[in-house]
Amino acid sequence: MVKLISAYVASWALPNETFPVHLNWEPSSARMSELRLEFPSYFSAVDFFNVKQPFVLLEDKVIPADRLQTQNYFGVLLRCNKVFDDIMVEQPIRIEFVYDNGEIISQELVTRIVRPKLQVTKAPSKVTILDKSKRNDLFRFEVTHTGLGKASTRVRIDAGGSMVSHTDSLYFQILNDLARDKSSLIEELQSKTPDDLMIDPAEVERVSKIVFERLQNSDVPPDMAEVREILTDLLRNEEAKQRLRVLIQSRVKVLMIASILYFLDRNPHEDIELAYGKIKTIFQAEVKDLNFSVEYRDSIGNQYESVGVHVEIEDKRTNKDKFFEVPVNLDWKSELLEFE
Amino acid sequence: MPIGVDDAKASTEIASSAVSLLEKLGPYKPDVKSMTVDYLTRSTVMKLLLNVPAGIKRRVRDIEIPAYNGYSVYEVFDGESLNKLDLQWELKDGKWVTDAAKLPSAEKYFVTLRGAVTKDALSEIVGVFCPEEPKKEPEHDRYWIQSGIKDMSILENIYRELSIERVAVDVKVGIERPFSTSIPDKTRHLLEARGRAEDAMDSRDRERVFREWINYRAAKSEAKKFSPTTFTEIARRVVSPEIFILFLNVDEPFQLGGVVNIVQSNFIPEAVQVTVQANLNFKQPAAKGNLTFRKKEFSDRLSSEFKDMEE
Repeated sequence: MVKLISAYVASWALPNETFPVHLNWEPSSARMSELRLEFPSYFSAVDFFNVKQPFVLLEDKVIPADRLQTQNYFGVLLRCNKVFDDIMVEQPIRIEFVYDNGEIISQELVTRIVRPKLQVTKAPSKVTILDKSKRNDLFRFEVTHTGLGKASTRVRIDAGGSMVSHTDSLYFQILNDLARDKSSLIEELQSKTPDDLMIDPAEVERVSKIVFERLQNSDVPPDMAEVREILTDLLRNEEAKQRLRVLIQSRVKVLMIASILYFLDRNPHEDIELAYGKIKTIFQAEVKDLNFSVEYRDSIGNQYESVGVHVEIEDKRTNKDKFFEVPVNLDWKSELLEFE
Repeated sequence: MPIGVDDAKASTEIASSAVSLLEKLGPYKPDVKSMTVDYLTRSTVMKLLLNVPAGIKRRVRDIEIPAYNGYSVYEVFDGESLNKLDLQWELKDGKWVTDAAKLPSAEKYFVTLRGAVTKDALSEIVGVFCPEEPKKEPEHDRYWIQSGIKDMSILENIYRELSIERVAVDVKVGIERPFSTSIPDKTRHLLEARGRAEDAMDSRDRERVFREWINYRAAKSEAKKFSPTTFTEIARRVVSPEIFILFLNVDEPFQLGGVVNIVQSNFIPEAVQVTVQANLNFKQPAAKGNLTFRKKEFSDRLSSEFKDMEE
């Protein structure tokens, strides 16, 4: 009886992401009494399309036909409030057209609630550190991404020592430079870098302008209050400001390279974004074990259960008090989620 | 327990201002022929037929049209000869006024009114949606896109010829991965060597500085033409609208609108905002489809540009 022009539900959504459903049909002479919706209990209806306001969907999920503004179209915005363990769970949505003569026409739709999922797929169970050990090869972990969606990850290493992130933000680096002895730094920078990487002066000007503006707007991480003070002082004095300009310009080249490297480090694999680039861990005292874990969120902020492994460590170095820095190697893999 | 929306919403600004305009025009028996809302320019165009019989013309000196919500008279046609009339309209006390004596003998007139719409009003009458995350395939990234009329009260209250044109959905297309996979090995080695050399400088360990600069020199001789400027120039060029659009497909009824480059990191664009548009009306109150980014082809194009830079 009802002649559908289109029946639509978005094919996939992350948990807590809203997604649309709509039905569009030919207006007909048959009198429809109501529309009945059916969707899982952990879904909520966030908004309605072509429904007279104010409208409240009760538990029977019925929309009386006279609540529709026009008799040819209905839409609803849904959201799944549940996070699943599986990377993809099909979810049925049913819409029934109920007519005055008792006839019911049912339309079935299916969406998929998807998520990214990480698993540690390779890890050493035990590592022995010898005096002659090659540091680069000691710790290697493989993490595999399945499912759908980028995972913003934060890797945690707990080994009784401290963890150092190799790539701080670029501006942070400049600020650190500034916080050191200013005048000697400027001299050093001016004499330092061999000029074999050609940089367009206009580019230098453009970038230094951005950096300068950010500094001027006190766009400084909150934990760098000291630098903020130094900057405020510098910016008050025209001569100092000029020196600052020289400093920034001389850093531009380094910054550009660092920026490209940082970008590559942060995006080691499809669908993985690291909170920081490469990681090193520092063993300061004798350690017996290392816990490697990866925390991650999806792009709308759903936090998933972190994954990790425990590695037993046998430290056979003769001098165990010696500071020992070890890179943690991460290999990323991913498997694409297939569906139509 | 009830679920869903429980806040009462008044009918939209667009509908209510149009209704009050029509009430004020009551004496001229207004008949709305069409109403068009342009989503991109946030404007409305209302075409209506007004009856101005000789009796009214004799009785009143001026013809007045209320200037509700920025409505202004755009064009007036003689309803019989269909000639466009050259009338002078003046804004007086919130009304558009013209001299009744200057009207021709016709009784019917086609009037086009133009008005402005606020962003809030637009978001109340249409909804636009796309996913946070694309579905990834080996050669493509796919985004579902949907837009729909939320509030049809304009239709209920005025006339069935409503169309909302160029309803735009902004899709953020991620391009980090094609970028990082298309940087050639030699360039990558060069960058890494340079990074290590800079690190060595910071350590002030002369031996290490010397060793790293030798390594850097070797990497540089492999990628002679490389420069960070060329790199960022290429990066910017490939995401310019005229090039990036070549790697996009969109299903009907959607059409590609604009492409805006979003530079998030310092030198490398991480995402591009692509606008797709569709017209909505009574017959097509909702639009659905997919936007496809042909990332493999995009990546190939980038690789070849980067290779040229190396040689």
